[in-house]
Amino acid sequence: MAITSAFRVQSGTVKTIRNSGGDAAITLASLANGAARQSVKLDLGATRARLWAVKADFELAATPTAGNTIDLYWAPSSSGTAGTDNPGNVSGTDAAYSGYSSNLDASVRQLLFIGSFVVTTQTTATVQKGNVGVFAPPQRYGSLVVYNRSGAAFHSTDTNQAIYLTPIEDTAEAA
Amino acid sequence: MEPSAILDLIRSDAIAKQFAVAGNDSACAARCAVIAPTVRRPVPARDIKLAAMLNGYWARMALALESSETPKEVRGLCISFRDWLDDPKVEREVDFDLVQVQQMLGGVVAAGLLSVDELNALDAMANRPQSFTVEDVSAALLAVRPDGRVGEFD
Repeated sequence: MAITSAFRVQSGTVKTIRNSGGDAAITLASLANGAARQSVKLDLGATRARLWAVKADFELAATPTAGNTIDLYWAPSSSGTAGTDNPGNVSGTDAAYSGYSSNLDASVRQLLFIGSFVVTTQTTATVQKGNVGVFAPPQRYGSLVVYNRSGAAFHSTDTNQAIYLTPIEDTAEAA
Repeated sequence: MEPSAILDLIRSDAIAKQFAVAGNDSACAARCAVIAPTVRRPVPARDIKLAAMLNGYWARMALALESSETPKEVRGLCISFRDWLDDPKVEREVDFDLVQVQQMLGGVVAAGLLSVDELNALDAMANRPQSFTVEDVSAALLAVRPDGRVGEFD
């Protein structure tokens, strides 16, 4: 039987999470090693792509150890209200994140692990741009959690810190 | 080391504190290893034997042991010292702070087979630097990092 159409993918409109000017806010300036930060809740849309590719730009305040990571997690939610229906004691606001009772390591495991941004030994002022991973958000809303395990703090300015969520949209076209 | 003790250590050293304020926890951990007081640890017997051989007093004792002119008590000390370190069947560690060990080494010094400087060098082998991971340091610094952010602290 002849194939009369093809399935393809296309990139949709990128959602940006950053301190200001993005689709959701997160303030990463000076975030210490061993600490985590959560973003304002983001609306991915009532209908949305199944898969999202995540890339990030990060600038650190000191030279990190190559191979260390900045881990990104997603806290999916059914509600657009900040404090409603969030896993892992996420608040849905731009704030420090320490999970339940400051059990950060245990609490992040209640979130969806997106992937790790693996750092290189670039000195300060270099903005490292890297892939983090691809994930499938199960619900319309969600917050991003950034867990700094690079060995160095984030730079004291927010300008160069950004996370980009690109929808990978399925399309069908006639042959 | 407890987090509060690590924090006190960082506060006590300008360079360590500078790294902490700058958010360079890796460098701060390395600096802590330099400035922290050493701790006393047992020393593997093979390391002591190697030091004794390299510094000549292993042979000095062996020769004293073979000589018929060596007093009986000194020969006894040489046998103790040799057997103490030279049991191939046992991966032994020696605690230099044990009274019995100090008495035996004192006897070897008194017999003129080991100088005080050599004894001090042997004893210093029990002083080991402490190690600190980045996680240790970051966990300690959380107490002075409101909202997980780096910055000046007292």
